[in-house]
Amino acid sequence: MNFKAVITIFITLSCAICCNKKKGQAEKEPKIKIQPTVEKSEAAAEIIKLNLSELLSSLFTESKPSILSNLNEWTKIAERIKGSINEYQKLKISIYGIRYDKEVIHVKARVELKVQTQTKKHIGIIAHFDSAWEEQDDGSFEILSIGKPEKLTLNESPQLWFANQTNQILGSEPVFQNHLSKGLDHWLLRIESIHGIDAFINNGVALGDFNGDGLDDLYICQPGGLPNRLLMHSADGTLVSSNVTGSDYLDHTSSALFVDIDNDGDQDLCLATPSGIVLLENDRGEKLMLRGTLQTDDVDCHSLTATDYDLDGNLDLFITFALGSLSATNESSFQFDDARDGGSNQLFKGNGKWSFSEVTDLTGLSTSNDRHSLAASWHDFDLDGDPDLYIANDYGFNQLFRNDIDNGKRSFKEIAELVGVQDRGAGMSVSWGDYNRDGLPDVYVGNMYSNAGNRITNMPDYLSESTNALKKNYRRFAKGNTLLVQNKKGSFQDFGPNVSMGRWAWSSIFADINNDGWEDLLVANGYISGPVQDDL
Amino acid sequence: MPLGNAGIGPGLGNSNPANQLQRMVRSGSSFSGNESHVVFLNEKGENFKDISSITGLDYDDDGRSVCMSDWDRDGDLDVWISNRNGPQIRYFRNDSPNLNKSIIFSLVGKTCNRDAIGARAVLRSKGSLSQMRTITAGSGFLSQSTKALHFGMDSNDKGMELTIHWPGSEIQKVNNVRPGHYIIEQGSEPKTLKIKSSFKTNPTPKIEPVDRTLLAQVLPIKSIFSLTNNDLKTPILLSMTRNDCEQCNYQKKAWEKNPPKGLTIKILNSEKLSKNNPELLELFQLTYDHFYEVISRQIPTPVSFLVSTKGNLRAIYRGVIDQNTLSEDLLRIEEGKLDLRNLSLPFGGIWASKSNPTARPLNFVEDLLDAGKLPAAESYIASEKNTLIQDEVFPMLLERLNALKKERRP
Repeated sequence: MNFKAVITIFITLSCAICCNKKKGQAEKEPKIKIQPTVEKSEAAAEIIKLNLSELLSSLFTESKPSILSNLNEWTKIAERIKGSINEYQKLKISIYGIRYDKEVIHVKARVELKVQTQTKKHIGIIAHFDSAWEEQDDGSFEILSIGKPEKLTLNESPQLWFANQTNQILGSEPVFQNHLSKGLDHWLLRIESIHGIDAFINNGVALGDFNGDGLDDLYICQPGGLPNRLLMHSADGTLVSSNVTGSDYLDHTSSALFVDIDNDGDQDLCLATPSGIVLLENDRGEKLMLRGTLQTDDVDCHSLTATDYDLDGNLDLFITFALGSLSATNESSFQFDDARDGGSNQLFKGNGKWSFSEVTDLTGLSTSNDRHSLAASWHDFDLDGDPDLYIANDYGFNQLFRNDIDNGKRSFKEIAELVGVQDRGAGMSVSWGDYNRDGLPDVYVGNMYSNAGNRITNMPDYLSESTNALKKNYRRFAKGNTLLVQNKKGSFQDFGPNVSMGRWAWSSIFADINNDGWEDLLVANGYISGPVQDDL
Repeated sequence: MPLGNAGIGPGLGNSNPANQLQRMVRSGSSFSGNESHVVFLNEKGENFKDISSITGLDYDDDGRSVCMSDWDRDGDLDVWISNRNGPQIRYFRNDSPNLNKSIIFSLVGKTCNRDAIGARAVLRSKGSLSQMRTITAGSGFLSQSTKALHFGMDSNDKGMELTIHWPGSEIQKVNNVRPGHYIIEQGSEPKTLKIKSSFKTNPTPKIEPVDRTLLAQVLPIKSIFSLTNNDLKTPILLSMTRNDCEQCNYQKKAWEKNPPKGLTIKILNSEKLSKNNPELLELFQLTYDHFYEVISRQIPTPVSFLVSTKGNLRAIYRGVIDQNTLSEDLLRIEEGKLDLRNLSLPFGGIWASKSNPTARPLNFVEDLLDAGKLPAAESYIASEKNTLIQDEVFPMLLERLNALKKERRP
């Protein structure tokens, strides 16, 4: 059933607590207690969602049920999308709140409508609304009332802002046809898991000008058993596989960077793999030569970033880890809202000539270095001339390390709480910008938004035996992305809910997409669309 | 949040919810899937508006990385998004209506690092607020965008001024900047970026990879499919078919007409087995699942197992088997030292890790026990005792088996 997966995970959250309490009783496996009200209300939410979809689909048509046509605001919406082309009509209902009040079920939902008119105009409407329902004896639900559409967002454009040109750029490339056009679920059935491929694996992408022709090329990382691909940007804009040797690593590669490690004017390549950071020197844009592998303490690598933290002219590398060596053992102290059993992130200081020193401890970055770190980004947030480090951690608090000089030595100090950027949650992505052009850097953090999570964690009996503070933490996990605004130097504030709903967000970044000088936000999202479409 | 990691923690066994969730995903379920990407438009720094519906970026992919670059050199930022599902990468050309012009700077460090990573540039113009951009390497989630700094121009000011804060505190001012893409070497005047050469390549011919795995792991299997020494005088191919499967029928006819030499073929039918011998059908699926990170997913049929004369499972074929591939594989499977790791993969490449994966029959017995296949596990242990006994945790496996047997007894 659809809702089972969702329930499962939010029950997991409550289970994580009881498991922590039961430390040392490994042989007694926790029994899942699904509270009947959660299961019942989730089942109701699923059916009511279908009913609402059907009801609001009538907005596209001439005949509307009186419950809608009686409300002027819904009629206005219907007017806007009147006469649109059937095949482009899209409607999506998300239920993010459900509350039982005796016999009446109060539902909070959001509707997204998308149409294209006969005149090829694109219209998108988002609205929030309340509705009330009653369960019938036969298990069906009848609507009692529907509220006005509120918090209306209306978009109109003579054309779409972006055109999917993947086929034009890549369609005739065999590497795309045979390999990259197929997703993880295809390869999971074909590559032995022992090579380092699994259903939850994440692999990144890097852009950089590998052959120095002025055009960015693309490197796409792959799970274990599939080769990473270096694809070259040709003069006509298409992307073609290269004759460059030494780029096609088969190890799981979470992240890659094009950077000029040896400062010789061309882009070298660094790869984050379970075996360490693979350092590859660019040899005249023709081949890549292995210059060494920086050994890491953990294997569940995620983000790889480059900076020059000590301003000596040599690039340094920072790698993050989610799981650590303790994570899967009974020594672990995994706690859903404050996990401290993660891997150890590591900083490698560049000494030039392909030599690196591990300086995590030396620079103070080993403070609280036990979280599940999925992303990191360097930025001089205090404008004092050296790069500081923000780390987005899953299951808990994020970290901001300020780059200081202490007795003539570089040293990082963790100040996330001090400046207000802890953003406790499921941190998955970091991007810095200055969205309000006040000259002070702001940071956008990718998190998880979940309708089901919002429904379940806001139910009255969710974690009924736990403290309010804990409930709040868990709710926070379903809240979504956070824009942390630097209002005055060294002090950040949460921008609020308008930029939160990025769904199950991964890369969430600043970019000015319409050249108006103001940085917009792009969010790539979606967790797992498996071959079985059984989620909500 | 990769929930794949959520199952960790003390005292969590197979029945804990997070592990259940992992099992669901491995068996093909969706979780917060089919979600469309989101774009928030910055409304002059005061608010953000969800404009996803008119951007054309709102695909229902499982997106991961987002990388920006002015790919087509028309002055606006185009987007690359990578996905968990296929296609693994999409390119979106920026066609935004009513665009302003832009200025793009590529910076080259002289005294600082050559990529000028960490350099901050501030663009000031009369009549609008300043803009600030910094060169980063790695941001978002597992993403690296272009290093070129992009400024949209919301001003017609002809006297715009760029201030570059190079890493290491050197400050450089550039006056009267105009729309275009420039390259600035530390301390020098901007030059218009020239595209030096056009990259060309000889198109590589399209080669369909053969849909089979010549297994990296050599796993003894004869007891599972009750193969006797007599059966194993030649290699044997166990081919699972379905009734309503065109490829299965095609394959069957091709073999009848032209039987492959040097091996025995045994055709199984999943419908028949589910009636007569469901245990064997389940063991077939379980064997498939053992090698891959999947559980009980529908395998493309026909699917065939090639077993060597030593009784080891050596190759798994999906779909119609090409005769040439089969002949080549027959030569390979009985050989000794081969680069099994690389032979097992659909595409070639280099490994950073040195360790070569090998089969661990004990894990296979664990799979049998997890699935409650006690008799099959017992006969496997009996058949492969010499190998299993070398595994240091073998005594614990026997303990688990005995415990399970006790549970079974009424």
